[in-house]
Amino acid sequence: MAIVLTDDKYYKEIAQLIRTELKCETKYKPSKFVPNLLVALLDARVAGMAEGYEEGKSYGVALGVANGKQEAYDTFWDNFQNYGNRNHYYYAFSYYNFDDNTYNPKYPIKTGTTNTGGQNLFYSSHGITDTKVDIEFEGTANGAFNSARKMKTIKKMIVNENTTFTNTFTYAESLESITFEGKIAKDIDLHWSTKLTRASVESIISHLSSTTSGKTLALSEAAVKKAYETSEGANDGTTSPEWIFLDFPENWTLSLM
Amino acid sequence: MREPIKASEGHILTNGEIYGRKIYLAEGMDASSFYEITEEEYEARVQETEEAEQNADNG
Repeated sequence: MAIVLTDDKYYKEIAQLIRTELKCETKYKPSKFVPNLLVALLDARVAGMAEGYEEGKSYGVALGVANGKQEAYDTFWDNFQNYGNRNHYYYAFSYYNFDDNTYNPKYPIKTGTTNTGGQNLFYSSHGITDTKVDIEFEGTANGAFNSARKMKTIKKMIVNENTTFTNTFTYAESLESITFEGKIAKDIDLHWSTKLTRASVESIISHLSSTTSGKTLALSEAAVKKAYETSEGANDGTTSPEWIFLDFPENWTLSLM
Repeated sequence: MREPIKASEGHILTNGEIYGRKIYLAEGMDASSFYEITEEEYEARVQETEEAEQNADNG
């Protein structure tokens, strides 16, 4: 059953509610209250629809673009890395092929045991500074970072006793951080990397094989001295007069350049 | 700690396979097998090895 509002106070309360909702100061005459109310409600509905449309459209476009970019990324890297099953990366990221914007692997890199699986992986890379994913060298790592002069960070290098390191780090002069996993059992030369952190030097040494013989680790003397400062953490530029290698394996030759 | 063998200024020590300005020899290695070469000779050898690797690659 309809209720008839005869008291002004009801009209005033309703008007105030509308003003509050629409954030306006419109005054409504009682004689024209109903039509004005209808107009106000209609305007509000239209305004709300327009705002909602614009908001929805903007959101929809943004969502569509994001989904499109993700799909494009997935399509490229799923195919390039064969859904994580690719194991032959010979020269894959060399020269100008990729830079920090375009190099963004979806899967860890796992090179196979063939002679060329991981060979020259980032050879002479001109634009990649960070490997971003773990890289496993099941066979050769020869030339992997040779002349990759901008490479600063090798996230993780997983090696085994068969992994070879011929010219792996030749001219890798920007390299600061490298983390190893596994066992290093072949000659390895990082003397071009004069900016290696102490953590990196320690990672290298702690993964040297204790059972191999006649092998050499070469490091930059400047890097080692800087990494093992006299006043640890002083960061005052002082270098140790003689660096300290804890537990350096007796079965390895250490060469400083 | 092992004592290193050291090259004189402007030179690099080598035994034909290992190169360095200061070398801490592994157990059983003979220091007398090392001799000095100039830094220029060393750079030339590095270049030569590099070219040989690339030629092997391209071959």
